[in-house]
Amino acid sequence: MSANSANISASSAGSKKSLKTFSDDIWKNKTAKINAELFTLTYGSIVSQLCTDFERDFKKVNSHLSAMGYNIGVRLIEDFLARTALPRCDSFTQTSEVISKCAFKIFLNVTPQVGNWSSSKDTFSLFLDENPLSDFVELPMDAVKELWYSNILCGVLKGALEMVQMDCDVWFVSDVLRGDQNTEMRVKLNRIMKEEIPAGED
Amino acid sequence: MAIQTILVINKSGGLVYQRDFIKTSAKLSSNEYLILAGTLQGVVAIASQVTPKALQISAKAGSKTANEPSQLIPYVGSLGAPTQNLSDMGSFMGQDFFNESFASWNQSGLKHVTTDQLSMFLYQTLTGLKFVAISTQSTTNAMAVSIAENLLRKAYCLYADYVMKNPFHDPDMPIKCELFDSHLAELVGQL
Amino acid sequence: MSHKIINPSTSVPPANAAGSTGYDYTIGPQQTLPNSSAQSVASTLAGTRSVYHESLHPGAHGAHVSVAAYAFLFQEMVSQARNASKTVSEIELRLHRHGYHIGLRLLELLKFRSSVTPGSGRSFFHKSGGPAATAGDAVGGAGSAPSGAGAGGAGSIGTAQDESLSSSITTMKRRDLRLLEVLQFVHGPVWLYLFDRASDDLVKSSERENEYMIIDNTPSITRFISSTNVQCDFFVCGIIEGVLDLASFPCTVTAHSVPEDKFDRRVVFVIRFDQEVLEREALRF
Repeated sequence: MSANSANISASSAGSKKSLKTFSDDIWKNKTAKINAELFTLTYGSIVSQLCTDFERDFKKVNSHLSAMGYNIGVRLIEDFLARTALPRCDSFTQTSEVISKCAFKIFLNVTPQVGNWSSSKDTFSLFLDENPLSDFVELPMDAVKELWYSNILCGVLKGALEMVQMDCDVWFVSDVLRGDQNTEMRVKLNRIMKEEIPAGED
Repeated sequence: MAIQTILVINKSGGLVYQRDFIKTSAKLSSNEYLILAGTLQGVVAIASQVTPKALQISAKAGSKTANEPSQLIPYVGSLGAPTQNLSDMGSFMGQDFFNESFASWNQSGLKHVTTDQLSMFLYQTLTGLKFVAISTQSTTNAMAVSIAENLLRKAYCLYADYVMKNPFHDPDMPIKCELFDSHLAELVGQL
Repeated sequence: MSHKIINPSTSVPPANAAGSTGYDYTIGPQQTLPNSSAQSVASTLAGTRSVYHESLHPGAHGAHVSVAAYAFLFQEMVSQARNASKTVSEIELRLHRHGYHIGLRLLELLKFRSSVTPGSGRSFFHKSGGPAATAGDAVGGAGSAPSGAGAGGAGSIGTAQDESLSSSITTMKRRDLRLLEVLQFVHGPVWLYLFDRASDDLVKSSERENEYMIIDNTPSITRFISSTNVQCDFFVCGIIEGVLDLASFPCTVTAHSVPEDKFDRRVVFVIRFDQEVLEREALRF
């Protein structure tokens, strides 16, 4: 998640496909799939184990989930790039499109809405209408105000973006599990780590 | 085109993987491979720096002059696709890992080196990882370059599956994954 | 979730609670808090009220995520277990425990889903409208009803959408009582649910009376992990053991890598039933 461009000149020989068509095709024809409930249950098992391990200190659980996500993100980005071969984004707006339409699509088969841009165009929100991590989940009452159940996603995005030289902060602002109207993640670009961009790119 | 060796170099220029597919008498020592990796890392960077001034030289040396992001590497079909065993595509699906032409991330850096005896091809990812293939054939033609790029992207796909998804592999450390070994050998063997 | 703390669930719209009769297992536990606080709590949790309702339905199953996404999650779970453990067996134990929790849930869920008459009650299940979409208006009452029967229709759960699943179940599937039946259940439906295919074989050990083996030639979730001295398939052992334990067939399950011919990743899950299971088995019929 990082790469690409809206004028996705790459990756589609000659024909200019939209990012959506491109991603749908990868999801449909190039990606092996597994039961989403096994995924949900496995994640649930991880979260509940953490809640026990940290004696229901949900702040610790949140940060641990984020750290786990980070470890995943730095690995997952390689899969994403190998699979899509998308070129580097020209702008953060493109990055947001790639994350929502491509990355979320080909890994989780959902497409969050992008919105709520800050005026400086360095922060946007992802609205998750569907979230395969939290299907079937009902937070226990002691967790409802503190636990960000899907916090692992923040870490994944942060880790993945960092590997393509974008230093970002990612956090949840609301979650339907906590009774909010929607599930919203914020992604803020701190800076592009130019010094770390591999030689050979322009 | 026979592949003699495949190398993987991490983003800081460290050699994390090296494997010979043809037994040759002149085998480099592991130390020499490390030096080769470090040298390549430096040369890629230098090549990208000299690009604007020395377009012709770099073109001769084989590095592509960028400024043309739309430059696509054509997909070379039926190259090393594990057709006999479709179920073994890992997290990928279908006949092949990908089936469309793709853009190169490495636009101004070194992409291949040729001597009278061999050619060396270099594929760099957006994260700075480098895959290097050394071929026993001296060639610079466009077809050979496309084949090499396709091959190395497939190696990258295998890396994504059998290295990145292995919890016992630590990032940036030498790769010791027998599944990566065997799938890579299969891929190279099908050339 | 945690074994220790059982919190009262608040998954039902407060207004309707009064009119409902008894416990409906397809809806879940009902509001039990005093009304004053109930309103605020319920409104916080409103979005989740349909959790039981929808997830029990057979139609709920069918969504997929990519194998890659799962593999990365699994990879990280193993890494965590590895960091937290000192010995190989401790890692395996942790993976086993994760699987066990899943197994416990599967037995009832799969039996329940297979009891629902196919095609019936499907109308209420809107994949597109999922739990998230209904969050907003759920406070009023019949949240997922697009007709807006919500706020006004206190006490009536009459809309087609809100009809409980129980009406589409004529006979509840029994849990299996015989050893072979329950093993078939694991070999077939459980494997099918988890990995989209039945396991490759189910055999009885020729050496030990209480030993059975389930064989998977191409284990899905560990296929990216080069063999090490840690057997990551212990996660699946946990699932099997969870299912069997809850079905009252206490046992221990272990995983062994036994390559054969072209299946170099072949794994044999050895199920060793406790003695009491065999004694019970011998008693009946």
